[in-house]
Amino acid sequence: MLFSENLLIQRICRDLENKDWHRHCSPQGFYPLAGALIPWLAAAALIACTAGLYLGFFVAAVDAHQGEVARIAFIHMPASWSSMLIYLATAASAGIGLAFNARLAAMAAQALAPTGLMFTFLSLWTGCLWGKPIWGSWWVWDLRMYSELALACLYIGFIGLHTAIEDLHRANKAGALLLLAGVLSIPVNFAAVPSWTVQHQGMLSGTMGTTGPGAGELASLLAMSMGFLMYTGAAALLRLRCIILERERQSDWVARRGSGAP
Amino acid sequence: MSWDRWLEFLQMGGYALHVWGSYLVVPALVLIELVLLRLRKREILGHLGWRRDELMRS
Repeated sequence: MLFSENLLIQRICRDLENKDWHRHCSPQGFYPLAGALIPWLAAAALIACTAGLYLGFFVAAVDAHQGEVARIAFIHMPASWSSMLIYLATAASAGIGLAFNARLAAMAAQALAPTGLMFTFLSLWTGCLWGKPIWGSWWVWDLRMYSELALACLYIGFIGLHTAIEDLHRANKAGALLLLAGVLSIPVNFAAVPSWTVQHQGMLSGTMGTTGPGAGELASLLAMSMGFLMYTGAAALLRLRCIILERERQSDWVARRGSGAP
Repeated sequence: MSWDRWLEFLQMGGYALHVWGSYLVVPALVLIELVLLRLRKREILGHLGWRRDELMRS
């Protein structure tokens, strides 16, 4: 395992020197690279999330007004940020796939979307559980929550559209257009808090008491966010490898790999 | 930490349902996603006719 990883790293370094790196951007070239990256990303995610949980429960101060329930922040905020960041990555991949007819980029969009949807659901779920004790209601029709719900709909729309259209090229095209049109929901989400919102607090006003988050709170938020993003990397690469094999199953390199040839 | 402190910790100031309901759903979702990915991989590898040692290797 380690030996083959060393060989892979040597090969990538050599290709970088020879400006030959693009060979790793094809599905065939990326497949082993993705496989080598997954355990590192998974380990990093585990370490970051453990650190984030420790900081969130044992170092971060309790909010003066909300009490212990404010600890939901250390899940809710990283999940919300991840959901939006993953959306941007998905849309960018699909856009690159559309513009340059890059197969791997189109596949990456498909690999990222389900994990993005998972974090969107997590953001909504934890938001409801936080809203109930603090606002007295599971759900409020507030612009920020509208836009997170819209994000969930966009993810579901992209996945559904891609599944529904049989022709792969058309499915990629339609999915990319939907994702790119939906990018507008991200700035809406960020504009929502200072300008429009009646209910949802901004991070620096209200959520963490009057003085805003301290070092412990920020460190926990940062660690959890990193952990979520590393996990996303690992899960998306696992899915990407499945997608590569599914799409390329007729090709020679898959057959060679399967028969045990190098 | 003593037992009372643990109990107090688990109660989360009376918000146990909300706090743990938020935190525990994360490993649940992650587990579901990983199981689905494992099944998907097994299906495509079975379709390709790859053997188990190749499954380990890839």
